[in-house]
Amino acid sequence: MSQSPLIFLGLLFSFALSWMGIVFAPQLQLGREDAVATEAGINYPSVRRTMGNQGEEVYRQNGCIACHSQQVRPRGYGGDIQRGWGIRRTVAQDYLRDEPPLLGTHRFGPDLANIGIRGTTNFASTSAFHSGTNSAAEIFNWHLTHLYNPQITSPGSIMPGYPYLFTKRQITGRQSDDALVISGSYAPEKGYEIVPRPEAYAMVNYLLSLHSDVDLFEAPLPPGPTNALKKATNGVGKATNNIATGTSTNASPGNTNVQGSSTPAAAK
Amino acid sequence: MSSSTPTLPPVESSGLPATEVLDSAEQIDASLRAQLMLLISSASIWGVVAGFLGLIAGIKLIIPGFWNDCAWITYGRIQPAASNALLFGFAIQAGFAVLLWLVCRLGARTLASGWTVLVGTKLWNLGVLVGTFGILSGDSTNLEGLEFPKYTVPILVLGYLMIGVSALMTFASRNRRELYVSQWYLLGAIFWFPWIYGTVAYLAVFHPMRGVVTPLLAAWFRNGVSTLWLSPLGIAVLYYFIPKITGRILYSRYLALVGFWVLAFSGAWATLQIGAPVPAWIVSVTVASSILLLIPLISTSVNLLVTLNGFNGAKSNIWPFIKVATYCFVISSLLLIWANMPGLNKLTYFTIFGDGLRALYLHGFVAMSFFAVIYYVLPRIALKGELSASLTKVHFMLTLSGVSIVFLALALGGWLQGTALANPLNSFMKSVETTSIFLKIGFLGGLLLFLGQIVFCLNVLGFLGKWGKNQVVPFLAEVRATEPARRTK
Ligand code: HEC
Repeated sequence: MSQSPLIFLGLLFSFALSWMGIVFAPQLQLGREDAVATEAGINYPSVRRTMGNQGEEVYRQNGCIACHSQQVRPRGYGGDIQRGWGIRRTVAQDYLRDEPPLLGTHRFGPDLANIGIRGTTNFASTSAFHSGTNSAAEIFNWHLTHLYNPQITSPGSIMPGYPYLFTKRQITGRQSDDALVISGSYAPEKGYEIVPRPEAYAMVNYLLSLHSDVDLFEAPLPPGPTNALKKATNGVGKATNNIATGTSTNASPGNTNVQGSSTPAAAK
Repeated sequence: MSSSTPTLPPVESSGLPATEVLDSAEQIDASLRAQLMLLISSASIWGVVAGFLGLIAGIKLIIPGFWNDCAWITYGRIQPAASNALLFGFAIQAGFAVLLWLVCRLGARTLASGWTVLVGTKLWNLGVLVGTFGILSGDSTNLEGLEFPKYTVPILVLGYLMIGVSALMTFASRNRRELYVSQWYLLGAIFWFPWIYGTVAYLAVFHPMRGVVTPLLAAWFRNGVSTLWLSPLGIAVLYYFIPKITGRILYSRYLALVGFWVLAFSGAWATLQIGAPVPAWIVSVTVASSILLLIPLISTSVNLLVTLNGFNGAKSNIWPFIKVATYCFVISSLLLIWANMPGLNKLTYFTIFGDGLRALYLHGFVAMSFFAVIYYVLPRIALKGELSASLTKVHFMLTLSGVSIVFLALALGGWLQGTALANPLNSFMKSVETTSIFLKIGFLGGLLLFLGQIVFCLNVLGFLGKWGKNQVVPFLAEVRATEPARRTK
């Protein structure tokens, strides 16, 4: 008799085991998870606002995942937390609403799981934050400029620019309010301006919506002084939401209501 | 099929009547002609395409301002396009050729259901083409290793099924009933690919499960397609050619058996990295299964190395490929297992370290063993003609030097990148600077690999072109000769 039916059964059995283990069991465990209510009464992770969802689409289309992860490993793992990439590790619960979660496998660039609440001193390149105020509007514009050409904000970066998310157009009359403020060699020729397209706004809104800092049962926030950080970051989160509203109604981010928003620098 | 007798145990031991009617090697090779020519030439073209896309991706990392106005070639699109074209277009497609040829030769059976292979191959190529364009146009699924968009999945699945069905029918109706070691791996490969790809394509791409289950499945696929498809095929090639070329009997059938079954049971468990946002037990399973994978690795390595030990007088033009493939298999598999261990994993997971190991695995082991089959089989299916020996040698040297440079540059660079990242006192940009130097060196290696793919493609297409002309010219001459005769009638 031939052994091949036996071999086939062996193959099927070994594969079925792995299938139960890696496909079925995780689905049983994770498939039941649902959004949790936080103290503030919001569901976490909340469904991102429309602009955020569109931005996620732009993020996916352009493959930012090739260089950026969105996951914070526990303390002691490669300095993720010490670098200020998050105040706690990320867990499955954080990704319930992501389709698919953009965990990433490379870190040519910094982790982005908490980019929406990152203190400016924790950015890879700090050269852009001269103003000292670091208002939410300035951070919003920093992201736009960085997206247009990272060399402007972060000299030596290997991140590509995304000029196709912007329009270069001739200035007719007055410069538009939402034109990027660029000086030096990267500025467009005289008489022209660089204006973000809706995709660029959507992307920045998405980036600023990224945070995984809610106190979870399986990933509690560290006790003590770091909770101050949590509060500070909440402030920024709110401020950026204001900005988001501003841009979605097509106002210039430069003059939106950033009154008294807490400075992210305090988050250090 | 006298040429391959040394690889097989004597027929009497099977307890089968000695009256098995075996198809001859010539009949078999002739039955595979159209299928292998199509598979091999398409794979060689995809190799060049993937190499080209990969080079642009490399330039993008070195000169970040390079052609940024064009969305289609932004790094985040061209990089997955290159790696998917390489995996699906080149490696898996060349694997189909290897699979079919070995199934036929070892079963002493001509190809069954050849037309499905022809249709399946065309579908497969269509799928890879659509998928690659899909990624470049911004439709990537963002599941790493599975970036081909949703609409390519049915094309690829159908293509595979048509090819797999022929492999299975050939296997089932084989004339030599007794199974040789290589055939276990072939049988495994035939089933494992559709099981893994089917599951993942359905549950991650078509009906995505919620949350982190999808990236988990993508990681399961990334690991599975290597451990349970490419490795078994490569190992089958080595188990076939090493005894055949050295004229020795395989060192231990028992070791091979143990290696096979432990691979079957532990090969499809590896998933995400340590510290990933999934329940801890899932990650522990990865570590445990990786440790178990040492068993098939050691038993296969010992078996192959002992069998080829001290043999060097091969006149065979494919022997260098086989030797390099064997060593690269041992080294890259060992390092890949090590990279799953907590210490190294923590340090290097997000770096280019793994890319270096995977390059060694894919170009050094998988591709080298497939090249050996292709160089062996092409002159045989064409009945006459030789591939250019000098091009073959140049191809070998380019691939070997290219893969060595890529491996060393990325593995060392990744290690240093990880070290720089692990120390929070280093600014992040320090890790970028460190990596950049090694990316440049790696780019040179990639250039050599690309040139190697071009030489390989020219060699294959040149050979097939000559063969085609030899078919057509006598035919035309005959037509011309009979023409006046007919007219005078
Ligand atoms: C080739 C790799 C690469 C790609 C692709 C890439 N980035 Fe980056 N990114 C970097 C590097 C390197 C840095 C650090 C230097 C800098 O600020 O540019 C960075 C920094 C950033 C930062 C600032 C984070 C911080 O903590 O300083 C943001 C935000 C960002 N990238 C967003 C994106 C988005 C959005 C995309 C996709 C449209 C993207 N990146 C694509 C490499 C990349």
